[in-house]
Amino acid sequence: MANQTFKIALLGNPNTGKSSVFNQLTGLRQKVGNFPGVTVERKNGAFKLTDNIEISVTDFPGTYSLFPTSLDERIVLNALTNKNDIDFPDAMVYVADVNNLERHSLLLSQLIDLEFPIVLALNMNDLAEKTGLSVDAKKLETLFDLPVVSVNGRTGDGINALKNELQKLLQTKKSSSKRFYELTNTEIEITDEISKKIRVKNSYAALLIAHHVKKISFLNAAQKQELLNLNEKHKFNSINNQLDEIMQRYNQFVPIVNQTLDKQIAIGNTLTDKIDSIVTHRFLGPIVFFLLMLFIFQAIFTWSSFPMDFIDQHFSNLSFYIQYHFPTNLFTKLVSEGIVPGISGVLVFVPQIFILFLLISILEEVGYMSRAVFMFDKIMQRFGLNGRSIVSLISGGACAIPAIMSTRTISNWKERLITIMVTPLISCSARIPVFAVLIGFVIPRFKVFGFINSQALVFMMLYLIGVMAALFSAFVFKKILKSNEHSFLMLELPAYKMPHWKNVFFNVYDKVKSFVIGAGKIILVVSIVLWFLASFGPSNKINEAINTATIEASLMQYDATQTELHIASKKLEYSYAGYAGRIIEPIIKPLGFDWKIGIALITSFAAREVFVGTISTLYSIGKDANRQTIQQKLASEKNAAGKPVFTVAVALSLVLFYLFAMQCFSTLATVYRETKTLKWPALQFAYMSTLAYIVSLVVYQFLK
Amino acid sequence: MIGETATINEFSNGFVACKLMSMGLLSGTAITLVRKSPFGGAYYIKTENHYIGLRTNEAEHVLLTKNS
Repeated sequence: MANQTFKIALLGNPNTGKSSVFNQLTGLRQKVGNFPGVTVERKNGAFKLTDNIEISVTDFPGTYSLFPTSLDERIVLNALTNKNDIDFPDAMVYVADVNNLERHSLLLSQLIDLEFPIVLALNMNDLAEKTGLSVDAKKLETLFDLPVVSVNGRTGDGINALKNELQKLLQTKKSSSKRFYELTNTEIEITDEISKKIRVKNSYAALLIAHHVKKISFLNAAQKQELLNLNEKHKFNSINNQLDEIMQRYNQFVPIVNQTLDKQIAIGNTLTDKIDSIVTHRFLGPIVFFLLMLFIFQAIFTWSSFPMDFIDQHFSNLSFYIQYHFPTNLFTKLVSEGIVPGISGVLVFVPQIFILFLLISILEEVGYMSRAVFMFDKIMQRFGLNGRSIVSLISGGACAIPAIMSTRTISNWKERLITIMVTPLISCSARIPVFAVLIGFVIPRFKVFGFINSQALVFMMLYLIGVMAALFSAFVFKKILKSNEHSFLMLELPAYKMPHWKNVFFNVYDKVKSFVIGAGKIILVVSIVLWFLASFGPSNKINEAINTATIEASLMQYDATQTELHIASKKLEYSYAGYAGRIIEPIIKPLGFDWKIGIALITSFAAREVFVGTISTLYSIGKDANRQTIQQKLASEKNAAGKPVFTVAVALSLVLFYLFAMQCFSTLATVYRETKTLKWPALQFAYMSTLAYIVSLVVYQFLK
Repeated sequence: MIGETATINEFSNGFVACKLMSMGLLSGTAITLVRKSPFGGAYYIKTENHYIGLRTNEAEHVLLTKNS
């Protein structure tokens, strides 16, 4: 028999353990992407039902009903009402939590009315087992007229039974004969007319389209207008009809559910109550939050320093090895100076990303994140952000790339976009080496109040300025951007539970994988391009420069190392990057930067910390020089007129430039990936560069 | 107010009603106002079998009857 592939939709309310069931079904055979045209995360997985039946499962966002209020929920509606949608399913697995079977039946009743073949998976969680809650599955099966399977997402119990039922269902394609809603006369008239105009599954699908004309993506403008006119003609009061429909559904299924449960358990869940009385407390709540964030921040820096140094060291050894053990030719150079450092530049961020997402996933699994959203919603709202933005902003302190990726949990598009736009203003770890070298020029080392290190204080201030700039920019975006999407917070606060490690693992795995593959490609390509620009120039010029440098070196009686450094510096001067530095000099001159700093600004586009390496090469300081050596060398550097290059004004101007400027190509690429248009990364680059330019200009001109 | 339990009577806004009813808060559901959010602006609400965070301006549309 030929191989067959079926599409299965995994649906359910939020917090039903749907992801656990998904992970149990598919294991590692899953990939995370976006739903077409929108930036809602789409998780798709595959598994074999039998030797010749392949199943493709889409894990839809958790949804309360088919009356969508967020982008997430809109995806579900669109996929289920459009037969040509790539996610339109052959059958469904509906996951409901036993403890909340009653309210989890609303969406189920709507899906039954859409006449999809459905298996109901009752997720038995620990609470149900402890309280000894039991469901008469057989009775439920008869009353709902669909197969019912008890599963445990945590242990995997019942997953095989679920697969068996699914296989039977795919053969019979039988949908439940129950109906939970009777259309009103007006609704029948409207849906009859809609069915004549567009291809719909049944009259209930037509009704959903009538309710949400504007949100249906497969209709063109003319069709939308036609349907809106139709609603107008019938004086169709959508919201009232929705409310009546919900009531009618509850009246239908509540008796069914009550017949099958042996008892209703109320949450006398004292543990959650006790934890929340501290964790969401007026005063203690925010303190707990900031302690947790401080811990995450600290963990990112301390736990990642060893693996980061390890990666850094081994890759530079590898470069060295290739350089000395392979014939000196262009290819060897490309590998040792372009590709290997490029890969290293990608992998070096992995430890931080791993730790960040590990801790965030745990907090998410436990149920803490929704409490954080609840607590900070008000403050974030003032700046056009969402409670969830606070997590992204703090992650930005490590690296903007995973921080921007973590905004996917913000369902309101405007709030998510603003978060993406302002997150790179938070000082990330790649800025630290740059600040560390430059702050020495600006601030002499002394003790403030006798015990605080003056330079550490300036570091703190730089972080604070970054945070304030982010909030200020968010406020400006809030005023500029228009959105007709409802902003609301009706947020379920799930009972606390132990993290399900399999879910944590898959979550972290997905994030790291999408960083390495998505952002990694770009960092690698940019590194290679920048290597090329810094290693090559107009050939006569560069040869001339090498010759001159060799002669100069011998006149100065440099030793071998000094000669090598001197030649490298001259080569960089006459490379394409060098020319580019000279071209941008007139633009950056008012900020106090010369063309050498211009070169470093260009090369640090691969990642900000490259600034330090480039400056070291330009001023013939060995690659392995420590910070003090670099600072001493730079301090003694004079320009043509005999004035020092790195004055307090220049150094401060440069620090502020790096604080505000969008000097990171991979972040821009990530923003492009997340927003799907060039408009937002372009705007981000423009506004951050402008901000940086103005601040540096003012500071330099004032201090000069 | 805080710590008190009341029964939902009706909703004065269709959008809020639709969303809350989808989440299982119907007229006749008993709710307890557990606490306010630390910086204001939202309530922590408890029903018979779940916890919900709700903005104060949304909560205004939930009309309650006090339980005696």
